[in-house]
Amino acid sequence: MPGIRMTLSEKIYQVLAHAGVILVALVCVAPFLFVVSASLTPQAVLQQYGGYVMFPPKVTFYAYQLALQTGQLLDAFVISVARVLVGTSLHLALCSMAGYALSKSYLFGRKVWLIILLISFLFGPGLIPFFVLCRTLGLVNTFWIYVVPGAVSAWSIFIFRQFFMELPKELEEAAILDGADELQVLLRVVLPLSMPVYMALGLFAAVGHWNDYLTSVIYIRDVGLYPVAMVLQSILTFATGTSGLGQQMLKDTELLKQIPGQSLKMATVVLSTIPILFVYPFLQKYFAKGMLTGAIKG
Amino acid sequence: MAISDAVPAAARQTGAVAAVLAMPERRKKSLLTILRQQWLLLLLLAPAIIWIVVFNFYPTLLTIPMVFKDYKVMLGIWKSPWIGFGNITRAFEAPDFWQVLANTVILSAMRLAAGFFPPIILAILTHNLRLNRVRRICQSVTYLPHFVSWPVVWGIVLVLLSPGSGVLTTMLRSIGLHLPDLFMNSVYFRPLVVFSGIWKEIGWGMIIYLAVLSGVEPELYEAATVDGAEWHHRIRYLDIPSLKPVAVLLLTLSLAGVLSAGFEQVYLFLTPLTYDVGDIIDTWVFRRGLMGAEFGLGTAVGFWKSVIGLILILVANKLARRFAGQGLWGSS
Repeated sequence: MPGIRMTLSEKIYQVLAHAGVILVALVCVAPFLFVVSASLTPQAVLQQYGGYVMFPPKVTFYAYQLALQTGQLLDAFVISVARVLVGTSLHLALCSMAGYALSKSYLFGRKVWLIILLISFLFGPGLIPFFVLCRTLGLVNTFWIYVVPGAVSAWSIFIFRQFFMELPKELEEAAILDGADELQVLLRVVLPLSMPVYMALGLFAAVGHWNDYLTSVIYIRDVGLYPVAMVLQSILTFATGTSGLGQQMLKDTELLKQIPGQSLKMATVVLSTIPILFVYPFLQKYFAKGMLTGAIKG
Repeated sequence: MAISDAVPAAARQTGAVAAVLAMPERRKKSLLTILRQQWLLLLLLAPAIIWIVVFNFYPTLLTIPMVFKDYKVMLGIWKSPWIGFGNITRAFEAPDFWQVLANTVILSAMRLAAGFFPPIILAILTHNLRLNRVRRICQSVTYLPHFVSWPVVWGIVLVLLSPGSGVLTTMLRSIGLHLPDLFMNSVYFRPLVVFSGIWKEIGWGMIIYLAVLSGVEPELYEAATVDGAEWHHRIRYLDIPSLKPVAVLLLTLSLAGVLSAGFEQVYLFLTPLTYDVGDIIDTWVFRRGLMGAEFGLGTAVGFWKSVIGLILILVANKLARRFAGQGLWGSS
């Protein structure tokens, strides 16, 4: 198309469209820069100017020092990382195993299993029966509440199943002819070919684990078990005076004894976002594409 | 092959007798054979199925005794007394229940009304951009907010709008406009939730529409341009018709989520000062049912939410099949 000459109205349209799209992109990104700048602005400067300063005359990393000094944020990073690793591995393992089994048309009772999955997809238990179950199982207020309830999802199983069904059968057949048994086929042939779908769903699960704070609000009372997102939530809602619902659970938090200033809050926002920025290129590569193919096929 | 070992050769040769004899044995045997042949597959499947039964089916069944009993933690579910429909009627009699239901539906409706078209418009604009580099960069930047947590979004809302030192607050103040405290006032709650929601999801929502547009034959665009189609012809006769089926599909499917107006976000934005407009079913069930230990009441409300949600999904599915199908037909 670039070879074709543009009419005047097309030119005007293109200019406006570019402007509009760039504006939206700026609106999506600029707030993150505001957050960074606010985290670097000393409290004194803030008071002196009586408002927000985009380019503070003096920059201080004191807020970051403070955020990391309290120790709770570091503990929370450990919890979050552990949760991401354990939760994601468990999710991928269970869902891919089930997806592989269901991808075989000769699987015993295949229809029944698929119906069970579909029902779980359409109808879930309410918050309170689920809470009661978790308490009966002793999951409440333990690390396991983070990884066990999210371990299986019908949606991931269906995506794995779709992927495995599309793998060329000849590969598996050839391996069996070569004398491999079923387990070897699975580990040596199927698994290496499935890395893209593992990456896509793995990143999906990992980001979900990293960002989730609601599980902690509902099931966790021990502040030492808070992940980063939950510590961030408690710092943010505490200081605004807009004491959120979770407030009542947070009265004894060491971190909240002093009211955190704007810069401390924003430093915590930045620290909790950095890991996402690190995986963002991979997200774009696997996740967006995976979603795309999933969306089109599904 | 399954019966060959168990049934004696002589019996096999006597035809009918052997068949009758072998029937029950054959079924039993074939199950064993299946287990022997498929043990690995079934073993791979087992954890997921067990998980679904334990964490999905069992608590769903648990709903029934919890709704119809006066659940006491001390007694446990099975020993608590049956009380009939008390919890269900109590839910409908609670004065704030109807308000909470209305809040939920209104918030969902506002999200749909304000948030449905922006991703479509953005996708059309983005797809038609001449400068490839601008298109690629903008596209990959707009879905960054989708991947950050709701607490981070709340932090961003604070940095933009907080009364003393927000970016927008400061900017507006410098031109003489004084923003009120947006967080402590019911009037601003819904717009705040809706717009921050759009901000977070617009780029992500755009992806599926962009995928559809990039699936349109480029020849069609070229032919249209050669025939002298202006940008508005292109949008009207190529972009919109190709997006319509997916858009209708997503719209009808989003009907199914009307009773879930975004627990994670609303919980964060909600304060006691904004309960009157911001309290939705999920936050109410959490606060009253779980924190307030009114388990039966909370379960009853949660149960109705699930039931209505299921009905809405099935209806939406029907609608989507009808309208999206029609849309497909109309555009071809």
